[in-house]
Amino acid sequence: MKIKVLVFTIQFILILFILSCNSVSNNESTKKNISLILKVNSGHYWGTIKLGADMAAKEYNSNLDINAGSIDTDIEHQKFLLNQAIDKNVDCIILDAIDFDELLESIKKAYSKNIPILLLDNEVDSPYITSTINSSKDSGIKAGEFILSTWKESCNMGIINFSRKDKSALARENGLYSEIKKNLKINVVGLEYLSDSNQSYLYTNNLIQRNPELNLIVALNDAVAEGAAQAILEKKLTGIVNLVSFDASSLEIKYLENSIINATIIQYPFNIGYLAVKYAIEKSEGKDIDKSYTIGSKIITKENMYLQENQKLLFPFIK
Amino acid sequence: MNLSRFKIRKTKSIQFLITQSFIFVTIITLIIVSMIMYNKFLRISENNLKTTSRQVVNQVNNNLDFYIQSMMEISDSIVELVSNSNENSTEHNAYLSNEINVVLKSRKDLVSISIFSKSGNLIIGAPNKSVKNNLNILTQDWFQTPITQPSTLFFSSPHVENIFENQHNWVVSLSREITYNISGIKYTGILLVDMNFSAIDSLCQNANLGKRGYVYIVDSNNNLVYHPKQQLINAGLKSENLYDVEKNVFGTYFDNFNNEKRLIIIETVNNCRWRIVGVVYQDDIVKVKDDIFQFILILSVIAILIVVIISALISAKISKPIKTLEKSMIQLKEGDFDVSLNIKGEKEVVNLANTFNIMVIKIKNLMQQILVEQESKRKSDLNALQSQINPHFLYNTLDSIVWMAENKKTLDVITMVTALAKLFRISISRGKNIISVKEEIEHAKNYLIIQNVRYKNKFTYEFEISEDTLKLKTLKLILQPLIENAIYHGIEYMVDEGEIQIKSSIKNNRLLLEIIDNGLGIASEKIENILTIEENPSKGSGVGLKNVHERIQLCYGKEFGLDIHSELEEGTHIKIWLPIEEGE
Repeated sequence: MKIKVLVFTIQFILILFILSCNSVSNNESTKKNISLILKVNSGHYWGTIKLGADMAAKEYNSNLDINAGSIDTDIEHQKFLLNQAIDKNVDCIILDAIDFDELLESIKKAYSKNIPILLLDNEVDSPYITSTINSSKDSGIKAGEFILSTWKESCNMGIINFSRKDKSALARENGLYSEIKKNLKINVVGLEYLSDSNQSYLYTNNLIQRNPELNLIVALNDAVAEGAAQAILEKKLTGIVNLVSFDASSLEIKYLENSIINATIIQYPFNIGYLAVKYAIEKSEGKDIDKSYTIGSKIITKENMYLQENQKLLFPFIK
Repeated sequence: MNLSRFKIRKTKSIQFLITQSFIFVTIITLIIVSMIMYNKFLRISENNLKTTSRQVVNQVNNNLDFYIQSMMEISDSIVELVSNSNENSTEHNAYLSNEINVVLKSRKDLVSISIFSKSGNLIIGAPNKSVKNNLNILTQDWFQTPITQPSTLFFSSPHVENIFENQHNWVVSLSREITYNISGIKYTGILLVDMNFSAIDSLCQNANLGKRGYVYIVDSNNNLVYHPKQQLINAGLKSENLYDVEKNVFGTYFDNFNNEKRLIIIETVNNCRWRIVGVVYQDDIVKVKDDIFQFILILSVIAILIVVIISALISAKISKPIKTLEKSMIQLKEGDFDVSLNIKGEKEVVNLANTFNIMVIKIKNLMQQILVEQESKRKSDLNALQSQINPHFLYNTLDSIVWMAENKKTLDVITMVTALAKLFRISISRGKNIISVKEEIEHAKNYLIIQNVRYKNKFTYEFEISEDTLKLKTLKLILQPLIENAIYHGIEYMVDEGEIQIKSSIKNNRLLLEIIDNGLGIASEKIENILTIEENPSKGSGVGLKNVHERIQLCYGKEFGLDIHSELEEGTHIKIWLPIEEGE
């Protein structure tokens, strides 16, 4: 009889012990692991997204891994990084895909392992993707709105895009088109896909020559904008050939101050980074998140660029 | 039935009781100590967090203070420098510009120093960069304020410096009124000193206020000067509880924001009326609380486990000798008297065991004694029985009967056999020791009948029995031995005919039986010893005078017994005194 009692007591105590150990280890393991894979590991956009992502990781107490290749067209390296994250069995992956179709296989693998994937700037409707966080289309729309309101009467524009395949590039273009087609007086006299500022410079020159009524160029990223701006500046056509650009590199800011660029559309990379990580953590904890999120963008002009709220956007880093 | 159930529940083994009390005491102590420790730890870590957080905020304040002070000192030195120059010659201008550049270079985080005229023109500036050509400084607040409030120092909130070409540093600006001379005419202008904000920014970013805590700065109008999540606040994704900050100018308090409890620490920065706000999340303290709780829980569980094992061992050790004792006693109960304990253990138990051993030996001896006594009692009973039967007398009498039967003396045979039967019946008396006087007299009568036949005409006998004695009680076999004595010692060797008288009466409230014979008598010296010295049973039944006397005294006490009177050649008169005991 007394042996039974002893055994029972020991069992009971062991159970208590195991339970308490469990809850200790539970605490440790509730820290989620998030992997953020961007297109390139340099530049203004990358740095700002990182700031926002880090802040969310700290606030919601999770581990965050940020990876990217050094060339923003290196799809092989991005595939490698994606597979690496899948193999590490992270809780969630945030992906800014260079080429969605190329990565589809790895994405399917992640799906089969129950690792949710959040896409940045990609309005694809795929069952393998948990959610998308979009802002590029909105920036295109905002550009379109600005153009509609500024050059209502007549507008002959050239559009310089920076990638045929990049979904964010296409999103900007689609956003732009969706607005400008509302005004039949706007003509698109040229559309080209160029990858650097030199090509853009040459093309702008060409376009100006061929189209004397050209009064607007829309350059869909900083590289092509800089090339176009330079061409306009050299030809002394500031104010005649207007320029609407995207992003805010330091050159673009200078051009903006000097009125060569009329307006530039910026997205909120800090907020994108922050919200992407926040939603990723929520999904890992089992909460439901929306299928798509749209994060807005802003039109920056010479007049409003030094406003308090815009300063932080244009100059996120304190040097 | 109820009682036995009650009893069973009450008796638990020593081992169980010891273990139970150990565990009980330990658990209570553990719980109390844990609770006290837990509370203490908690309070200590809470206080620690508060103190550290206050220190952090204080540190940020000190740095900010130093920063502001430096700017003020620089502005003071510039003012002094400028007011001491009084010519607007080119060399002098160059000299002044040089001086200002030296000041600029003397501090790493000075970005620019510039003096503007009241109309917004740059008079002198360092570094020597060109002003952005589309700048409209007249409306900017750093320019306006010193004009409208001449003797104040204006501190701007951190912003991007946008006066000079290719400069996009984050700075804090100090502006004030300044007097300068051109060609001897004093003019008032605005001095602008820009200082790099990066140092303060990294300080604020790295302020360690727990896992999720942070530091932010507000100005006197409760606008955010600096906030680590400024972009999120601007985008409306986050908000800050500035309302309470406005109410509490400085100090430490708790607020509840977004369902989270936070510790708020506010300090004012000297000279610029900014306030630093530190935010610490209570969760971080709670996490510590959970950690401590789990630690204590595991510790307690381990301790209880150890205590259970140890107490089981200890109680087993203590109760083992007692159990051995218990087992031996059970053995004893079942009749094994050869148990002998060799127990080691506690002093009391060893004593118990020794006493137990002694007791067992005593019991064993007692039992032996009883056996021996039973044996001897049986023997003496047997002896007594044997004596009652007296083989010699029996053989002789039977011989006589045979002789009479051979001689066809039938009547005599009948008399003898009848008398013999009656004699033995009373002799044995079914084992009783006390019979009635009537039976004893009967017994004596039968004996005399038989002896009379054997000792033909040797003697005569006579009974004088008082009626009221017949029903009284007496010890059996007291008359016959005395009569036997009278016959063998008194009359047998007489020449003349002997006479034996047996009397019974009540005298002096006692029962008196007398046997009187006229035989040889007993010598007076012998009379003294007769009742005391053991006789050798040479003849007769062996149950002699001494025996009768002793039996009477044993049974009835020393005041009764035999009284012997005798005279040689004359006769013997024996008186038997007995108590009066009524029979039913």
